[in-house]
Amino acid sequence: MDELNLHDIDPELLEEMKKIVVARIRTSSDDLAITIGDKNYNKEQILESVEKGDEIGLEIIDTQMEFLRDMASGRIYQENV
Amino acid sequence: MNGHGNENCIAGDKDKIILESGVNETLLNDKIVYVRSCNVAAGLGVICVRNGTIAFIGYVKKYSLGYTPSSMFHPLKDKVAKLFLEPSNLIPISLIKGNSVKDSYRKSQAALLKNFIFMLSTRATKEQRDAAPSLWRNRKYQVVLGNENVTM
Repeated sequence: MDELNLHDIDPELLEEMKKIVVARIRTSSDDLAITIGDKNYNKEQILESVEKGDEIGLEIIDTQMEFLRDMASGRIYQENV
Repeated sequence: MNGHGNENCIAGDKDKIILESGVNETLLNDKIVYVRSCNVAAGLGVICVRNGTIAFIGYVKKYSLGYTPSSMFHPLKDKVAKLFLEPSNLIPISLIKGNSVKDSYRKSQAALLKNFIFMLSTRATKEQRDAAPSLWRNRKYQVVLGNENVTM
C-alpha cells in the first residue's frame, strides 16, 4: 500500500494539499456528514479540521489525496476482485 | 464486532474497552472475528492471530461512514450510509452462510467496488459522489489476517 506520512511531510506541501482538499470539501454537499471513529463531522467541522490540520483534518486530507492519486494513476480502474 | 477502536483496543457500549492487546486478546482464541472499528487490524488483530485467533477481518486505518443528516431519523432510507454498511455487513452474513473467510472478504470487496464505481457515476446523487473517497479508503484498508480458508 502506498502511504504518505502527513505527520512527517514538508509543511509547504501539506499547505498545498490543504488548499486542494478545502476546495473539494467546499464544493461538496451540505447534506453529507462523515463518522470517523467515534465522532460525527458535518461539512463545516470537516473544513475546520482540515484548515487546522488536526488529527481528523490530516485523516481527511490523506483520504482525499489518496483518492485523487489512485484516480490519476488508474489504480481504481485496475481493481478486480 | 462493531464499535470504536484503535490499534490496541476495541470499545463497546459507552466506549468501555472490551478487548485490549496484552490484556484479554486470548478471549478471541479459536474464533473467526470481523471487527468494524478503526485501526484494529493494524495492531490488536495481528496480536490476536499470533496468539490463537483463527482469522481476523478488520481495518488497518480509520473506518469512515458517510451519511446524510437529513436521513438521521430514517436510517434505513439513507442512500449514502447503505453504500458503506451493506458491503460491510456481507462479511458476517457470508460467514454465517458457511462461506470461507477468503470468500466472505472477497464478496465484501466486490460489493464495495461495485458501490464505489456507482458513486463515481452520473447515476449517483451528489452526496453519494462526495462520499466516494471515504468508501474507497475503507475498501483499500480492509484486510484479512490468519487462516483465510477456514469456515464457521
